[in-house]
Amino acid sequence: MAVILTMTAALPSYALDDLSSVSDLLKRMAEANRQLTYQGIFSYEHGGTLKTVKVLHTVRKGQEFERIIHLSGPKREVIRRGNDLNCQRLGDAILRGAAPGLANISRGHLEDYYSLYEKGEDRVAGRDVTVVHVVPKDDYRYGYALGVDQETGLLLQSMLIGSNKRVLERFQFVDVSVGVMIDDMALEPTLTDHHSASVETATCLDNEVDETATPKQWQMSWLPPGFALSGYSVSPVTQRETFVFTDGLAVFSVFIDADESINLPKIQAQRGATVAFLNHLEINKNNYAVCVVGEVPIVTAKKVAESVKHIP
Amino acid sequence: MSDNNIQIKESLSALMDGQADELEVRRVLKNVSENDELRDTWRRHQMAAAAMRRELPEQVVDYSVAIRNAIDEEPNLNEKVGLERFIKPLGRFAVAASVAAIAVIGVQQYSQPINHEAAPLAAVNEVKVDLVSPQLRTASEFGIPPVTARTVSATTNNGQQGYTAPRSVVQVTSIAPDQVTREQVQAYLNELMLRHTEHAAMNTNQGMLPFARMPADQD
Repeated sequence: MAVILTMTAALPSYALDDLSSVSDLLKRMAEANRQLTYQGIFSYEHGGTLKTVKVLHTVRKGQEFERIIHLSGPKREVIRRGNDLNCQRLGDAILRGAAPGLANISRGHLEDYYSLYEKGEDRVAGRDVTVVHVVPKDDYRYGYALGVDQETGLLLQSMLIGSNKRVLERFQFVDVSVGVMIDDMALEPTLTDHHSASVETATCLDNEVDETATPKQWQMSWLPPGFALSGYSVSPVTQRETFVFTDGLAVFSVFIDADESINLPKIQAQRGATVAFLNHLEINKNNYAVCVVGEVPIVTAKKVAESVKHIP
Repeated sequence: MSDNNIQIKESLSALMDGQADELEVRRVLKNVSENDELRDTWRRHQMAAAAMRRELPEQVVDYSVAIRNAIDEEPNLNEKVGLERFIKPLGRFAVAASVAAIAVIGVQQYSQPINHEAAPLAAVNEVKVDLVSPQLRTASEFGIPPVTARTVSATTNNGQQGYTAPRSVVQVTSIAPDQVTREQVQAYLNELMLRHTEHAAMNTNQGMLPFARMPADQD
């Protein structure tokens, strides 16, 4: 018995870069989260705080319905509706190994920027999970330790791991039921001041590219390798321009505001795993605020913010 | 039988039932060492209890006298010589010092604002703050043994890094004075973070997770 144990422990955990099992698992994970019906309670911990959150997710007529209720702290609810299952976004596509026919985006493969390791099994919310470690190959992104449900592919546990192997945040289901019926009433918000999350359809990959929604004025002269533009929009009200970049796992947004009304200082901020870096640009005597927000190391946010250039 | 004796026997019986308080325990122990009758009572009680639990051996042998004699013959441990005498207090001091160290770490752990979300963003003129706070560490590819589904503990992990509550930090590197208040900065950042949350929810495979990140003051 002891011999077997020692042998098991001594086995190297080899990288599965060229093996398909981990990639397959991540592909399944990308689909499961959107396509399955599930409800459960998860805990979210970062630093000293622990929150508990209830989630209900289902699909009606090809569209996602989601209700998120914070069970601890201030009363909060988020309703997200109408995200079309056919709408594939860049993040999903990269996770699935870059869907074909995406000529206009960089064909990033997750494995180019992360090493994937299968780390055996564990149990989360009473279910068997496969533990996958996703270790970045550079310092421009964080790592992940994921627990993926073996039966359904649903992500049941996730830890974001920063430099020096520090856990920046931990998300973990406490209890979850997959494939149960969720009736319509349960998807209705009970709080009148709930937040309705907007669902951008413009970011769907197979949508016709709208000429007005292509960035013309601004350019990021530096992006961390593997990150590609996944969404761009201009607010009709504030003229704020928004860029969203992802490498398949991490996401950051770049906001560019005409800085006349709000004369903000240069700012570097962090809240949990999210960082923000705000920089200024002066172009033709006009001030602009460039702010990068995302779950990336502050160096990345800073470098991106400082690389923003105006195209004359 | 004196009142005192009755009282002490009540205490003894309480002790055997595990009901005696600290004072009673002391009184019983003190009396037992001086009072043969009480000692006998205790022995009988123990034997009766053992019999009721069917734990009595077939043959009961009283070792107590032999043990007492053996103890009397033992050399006295307190009579130490020279160097040894010296070392002991030093050892004690070392223990005390390490306790003090633990106490200091404890203070560091908990002196951070617990509800850091509510912690205001730093003032406009505030300077450098360490953005990467020491946190829990993890495993294997990332360092230590496999990640488990264990719950988070606020104590030191694996005897490694102390666990520090994170801070909500704004570092202002250059100042645009006067016009900007902290609230404005906060409100602006909150709005951007909320927008980002929505982007992240749609672009990651962890749909619900970004909404868990969403801090309370963004609603």
